[in-house]
Amino acid sequence: MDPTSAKLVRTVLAVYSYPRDVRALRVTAEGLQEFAARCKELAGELSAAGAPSAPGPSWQATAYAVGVSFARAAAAAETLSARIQATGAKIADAGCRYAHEDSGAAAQLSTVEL
Amino acid sequence: MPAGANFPSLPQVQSATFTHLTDAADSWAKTAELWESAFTEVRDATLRPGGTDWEGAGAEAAQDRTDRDVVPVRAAASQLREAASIARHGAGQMEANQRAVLKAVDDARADGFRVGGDYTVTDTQNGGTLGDRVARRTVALSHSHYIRHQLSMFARADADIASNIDAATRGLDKIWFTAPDDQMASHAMPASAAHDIPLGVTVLCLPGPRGGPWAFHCDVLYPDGHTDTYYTDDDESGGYL
Repeated sequence: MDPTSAKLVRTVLAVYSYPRDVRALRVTAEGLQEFAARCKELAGELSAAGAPSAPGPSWQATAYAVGVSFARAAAAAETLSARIQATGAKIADAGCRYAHEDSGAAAQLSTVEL
Repeated sequence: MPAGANFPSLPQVQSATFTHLTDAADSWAKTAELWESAFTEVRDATLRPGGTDWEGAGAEAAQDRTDRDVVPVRAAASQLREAASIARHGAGQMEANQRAVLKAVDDARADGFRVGGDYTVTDTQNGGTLGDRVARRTVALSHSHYIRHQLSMFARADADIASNIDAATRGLDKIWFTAPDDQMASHAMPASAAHDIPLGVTVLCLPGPRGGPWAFHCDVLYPDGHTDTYYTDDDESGGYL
């Protein structure tokens, strides 16, 4: 094998010896952080929505049922808000890790001897 | 004869409004839309965060998690829409029942009877023969029964609509998500601390990329078959198969 071909083989082997995650990674850390920020925004919208209007007369059974249902919806909204917030934190976490990984992988590739 | 302690008084029926039902219907319909759109947006965004493709185990975990999240959210939104529909139709039904009660009262008054706040019907005319008074008494009873019947319909509709709204939203406050990792740690925490490993899961850790910030890349298999991934400096392989 001539030196040029051998160099090419070494390069291909070096690149493809990396784990699948590193090779398949096309997303940017910035993109993940942007996504995480959007999750936080949505979480705020979810917890702010659904405020009850003025309650109906207390003698009406429907007024009581509406009040109870608003309370249930508010509790659900808090759960949903927390869930999206947690997803955002997970995404932000992934963004931080990928930023580290990407720089680590780039440094590693740059040291491959050709 | 008074209508009964459980019935609203005539002034209450006369002044009744049902905007709490229409307002709730509008609010719940908007909230349902917001819930669904928010979780759908997050699910769709995991495919291309920031406009670029995201692939790999981390992406798959995030996509699976957000895809699963949409299911209970859709169910909850459906509950809210059902409650909104009941409330909207209920408002119309209550208005119709209100009109029927007030029409019955008006009919009695048009016949020369006085209707009290508690729906007692009394004759405003005096005199006449015994036969005339007996006939008037019969008409008064007829009006009283009809008013009570309409009032009963009004109160029953109020109770039925309330019961249906209550049934539609029951359990809404107990919504939960099937995907694991509900208790998310702050992203500021180190990865090894951010992922508690509950009993019953199986963890397989493989060495991470050379020179990377984490020594191991671990895949987690939860008892329900769901998988997740995380990075750590320690080989935490193990499990409860």
